[in-house]
Amino acid sequence: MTPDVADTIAAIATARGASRRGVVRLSGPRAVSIAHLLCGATLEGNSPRRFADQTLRIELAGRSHELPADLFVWPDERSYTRQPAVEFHTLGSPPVLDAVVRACLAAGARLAEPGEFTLRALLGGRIDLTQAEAVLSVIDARSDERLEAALEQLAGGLSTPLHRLRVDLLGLLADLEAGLDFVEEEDIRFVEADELRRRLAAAAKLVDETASQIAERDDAQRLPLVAIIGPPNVGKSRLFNVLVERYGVESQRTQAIVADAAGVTRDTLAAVIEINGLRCALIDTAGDDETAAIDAIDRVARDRLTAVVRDADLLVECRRAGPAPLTTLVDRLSVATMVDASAATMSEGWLATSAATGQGVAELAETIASRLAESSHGTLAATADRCRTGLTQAAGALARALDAVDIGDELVSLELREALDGLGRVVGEVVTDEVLGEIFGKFCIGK
Amino acid sequence: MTEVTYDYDVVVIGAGHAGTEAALAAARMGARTALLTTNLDTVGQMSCNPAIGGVGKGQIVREIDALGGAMGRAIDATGLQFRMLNCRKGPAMHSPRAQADKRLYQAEIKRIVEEQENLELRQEGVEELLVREGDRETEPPLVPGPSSPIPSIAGVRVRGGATYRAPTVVLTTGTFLQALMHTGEAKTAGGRAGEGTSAGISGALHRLGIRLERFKTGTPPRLNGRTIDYTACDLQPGDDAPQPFSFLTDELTQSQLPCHVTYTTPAVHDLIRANLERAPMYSGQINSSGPRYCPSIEDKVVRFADKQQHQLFLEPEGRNTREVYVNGVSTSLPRDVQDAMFRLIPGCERAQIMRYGYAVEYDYAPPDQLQPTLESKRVAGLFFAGQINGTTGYEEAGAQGLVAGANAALKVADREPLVLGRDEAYIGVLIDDLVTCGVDEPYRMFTSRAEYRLLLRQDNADRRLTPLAARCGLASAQREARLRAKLGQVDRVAHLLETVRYQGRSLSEQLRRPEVDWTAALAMAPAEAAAELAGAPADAVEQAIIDARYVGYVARQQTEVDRQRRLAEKRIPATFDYARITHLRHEAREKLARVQPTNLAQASRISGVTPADITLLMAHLGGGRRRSTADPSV
Repeated sequence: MTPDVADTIAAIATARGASRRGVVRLSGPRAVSIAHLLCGATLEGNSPRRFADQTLRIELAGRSHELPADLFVWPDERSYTRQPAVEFHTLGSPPVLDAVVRACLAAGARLAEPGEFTLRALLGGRIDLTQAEAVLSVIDARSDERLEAALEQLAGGLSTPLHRLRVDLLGLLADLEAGLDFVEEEDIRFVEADELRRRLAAAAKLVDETASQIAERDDAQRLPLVAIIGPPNVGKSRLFNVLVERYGVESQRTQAIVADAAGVTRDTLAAVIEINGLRCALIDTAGDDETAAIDAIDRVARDRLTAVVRDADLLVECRRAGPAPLTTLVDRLSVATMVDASAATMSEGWLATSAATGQGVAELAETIASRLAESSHGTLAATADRCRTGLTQAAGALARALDAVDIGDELVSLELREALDGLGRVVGEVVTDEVLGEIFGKFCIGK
Repeated sequence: MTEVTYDYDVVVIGAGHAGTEAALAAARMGARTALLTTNLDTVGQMSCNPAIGGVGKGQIVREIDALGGAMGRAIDATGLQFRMLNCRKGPAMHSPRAQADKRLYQAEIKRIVEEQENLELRQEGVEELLVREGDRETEPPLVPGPSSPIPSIAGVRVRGGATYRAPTVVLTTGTFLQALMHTGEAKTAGGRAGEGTSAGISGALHRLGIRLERFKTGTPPRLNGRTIDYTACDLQPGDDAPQPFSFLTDELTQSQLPCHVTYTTPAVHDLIRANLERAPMYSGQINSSGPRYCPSIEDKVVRFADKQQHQLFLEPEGRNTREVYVNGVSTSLPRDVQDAMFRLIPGCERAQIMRYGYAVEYDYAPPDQLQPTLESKRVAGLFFAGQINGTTGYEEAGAQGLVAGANAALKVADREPLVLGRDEAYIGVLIDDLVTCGVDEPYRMFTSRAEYRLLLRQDNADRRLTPLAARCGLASAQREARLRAKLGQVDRVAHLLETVRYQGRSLSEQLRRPEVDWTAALAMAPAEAAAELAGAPADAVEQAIIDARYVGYVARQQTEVDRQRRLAEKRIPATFDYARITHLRHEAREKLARVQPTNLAQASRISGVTPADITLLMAHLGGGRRRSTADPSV
């Protein structure tokens, strides 16, 4: 989606993860009217104002809820983005914030692209390029791979059904376009109305199934997962205990979510901790000794471990500090344990801790919190939003396409393109050349 | 020896479909124009099929006509069969196509050119392009480096030593640059059977730093109709009520000739397969790529091996000749295989070949080297149009010619250039695709290339383009007056459709239901209104009905058009340095630097440039002018 400042955009403005307070931000010409739709209150006024103790109507887990919120309203260009803007300050729980964003989208806003608020501030002259640089630097090439990885993790794997849907719709579009553009050619098999209806209905069904797959397995509701891993007997469990002792939260519900999400049972310990208002699930894994002979029970444990490692948002890899320096590890937080032992040396890039003396534990907690803030958990939730928006657009377009079957193929084609556009937000845009390639591959064109 | 020099505003090289429209457009706008061709007898020649229009292409002809061009009028005067394709689909898909009397068409184009004021048609062979150096015109020096200053065109030198001086030159040399024809193992230099090649211009372009690449295309054999047994073929007649191409033509009155259809057989396919190694495309004699949508018969047999037959269209080339064009069997197989092939085709067993099919390889100048005005980025005042830009088709060529000629005249007059939007015309889609994406096979128009297909219809080309044409002097007063009269009638009909109600719904709303046609709508109106509607001119009624039926869809497309327009308002200076954007991906930076898009909308259409790249570009174009120290937090 190309950035158009005439769109009203919405997004969660605070860091991902469970915290006490969260902010959803809206910016664009319709910001104030959308906020009005959500809270029902009149938000008039010529200057920036706070509207405290408002009630937002949101949908959560299929039910309507009333959510207390403070609204900050900028009716004109005196906002951060230099255009009408609204902030909803409310509970910090991710599912609640997601529901607020969804309500904004349903009222006509568009999901903000990464860096888009900053871009508007920059275009409005609120900040300069140097100030925007840090944000703009995250809008880079890796986003495609990250998106694909997130799709794979989401709701038990969305990549395959979405790509299949895209292939189906592209094939259908190519068949339709062939009948429109190559009427004179011998080889074209025109798509009859009945077949067209059947294929559109099949696509609509797949869209619905994928959408409910997301709804059922709402990954945004789960807490970020932090797994402590490493060889046996390096002090993982002692570190786990110290962290839970200092940061643990009592909560039956979250305990259950942790156990469910990680697929962990008796052989893995889990607890919910909260660091600086950010909640996460901490998992202590059984140490995996790759050199030992394994029996059936070990195999099950090892499979569980593999699952935990795959699903974790952050891996904390523990090694016992010894006389030799440790080699740096990538993609994880490296923690040297038992640094109080006599033979321990410091290793570059390793966080030195001791469960016995408490050394480095606070620093470890801080690091976990800051790493989580930038981890894939945010990408996951944002990708889920993107999928939902895209699938909603596709579903609407396919319904209209079915209605258009009796009117004309050129109108069905228009709706199909819109459906593909919706999917294009997550699985790649369809370009004309791709459609033509399908046609030339399938039919013998050439009068 | 005194060298003869002539002075013009615009010099057009080549008098094919691009060249004639270019010269006519420039001259209509008042520029003193010279049209130079190597052969006065091939002005407006139909080198390949004797037909104009088709799906996507017919819409382009209507647009050329709405802009005052010659193609529509010429085919109306000389067509021998007219059909509206896609009639059973919605109005956006209706596409006119006509068979032409090839010789008459050419003569008609030549006559229109001869009668145009401000335009001189000359038989000349261009040998050299001249550039300006201080006060004088000179041959281009050695190949310039990437940072050399951009030279300005100064004119051309022709065979025999004469010089045409002009601040703008339009190059429309078709397939004639370094052309090589293939029939089986035989190779002949030349861009069209029986004609030569323009070698000097290729050298001049090279020295000006313009990149040239190679394409191939082909034509089918022509048969003597006297030797065809038409009783063994299917008949394909023209429409009962033929519709003209030109908005100036009231009615087509000529008699129509039929085409015929026959098929290849498995025996033909076996013969081709047995001789594949003698086809230049398969023997390695030709390496350049040809169009996927116009494959040779050898390609069809190889790529679609399971097909038992391919359709062949037998199209008459004129009223006063028996020559027949065999559409669907483009080939470069050797003569003996072409002869043997027809022995096996129903109805053609005894057919005599009058011209053998051949493939032609030629130089084209990749069009991503052009600005949206079709002016070169490397040489100021040098415009490119037609097949030299890597396109195929008379319609695509004519359209580019018209735009290039108009822009040359506008440049001389120091006026705003003519750039049609993708939402305004297929011609806009065509040129934007060319200059933004370049080509990797010969480019042909398809309606699926146009994202605003419902807006770009053959029926409303005049409404879309004639007012614009009138503003820049391309359209005549007569054309403008006709449009004004028609629009007045459309408004009146539309007003009645909006205000007359039946069972609580306006006639417009009624017409949106698939089961309500015009007759049914008339029956719903009270007598007086029904009489007025029934008496309204057919074209006005057609417009009003289409408007009523498409209104919701058109509004939706308009929203997207507006979005793109806003993006297009963000101009990118020609001197913009993409290396400045540190976070930009390498691929995006390279492509942006090559295409040099003029605005953000164009940049967003470059393949491989993502919305994230556009965000970065937007930030670097627009940011930091009014830095404020105000604290955004509350």
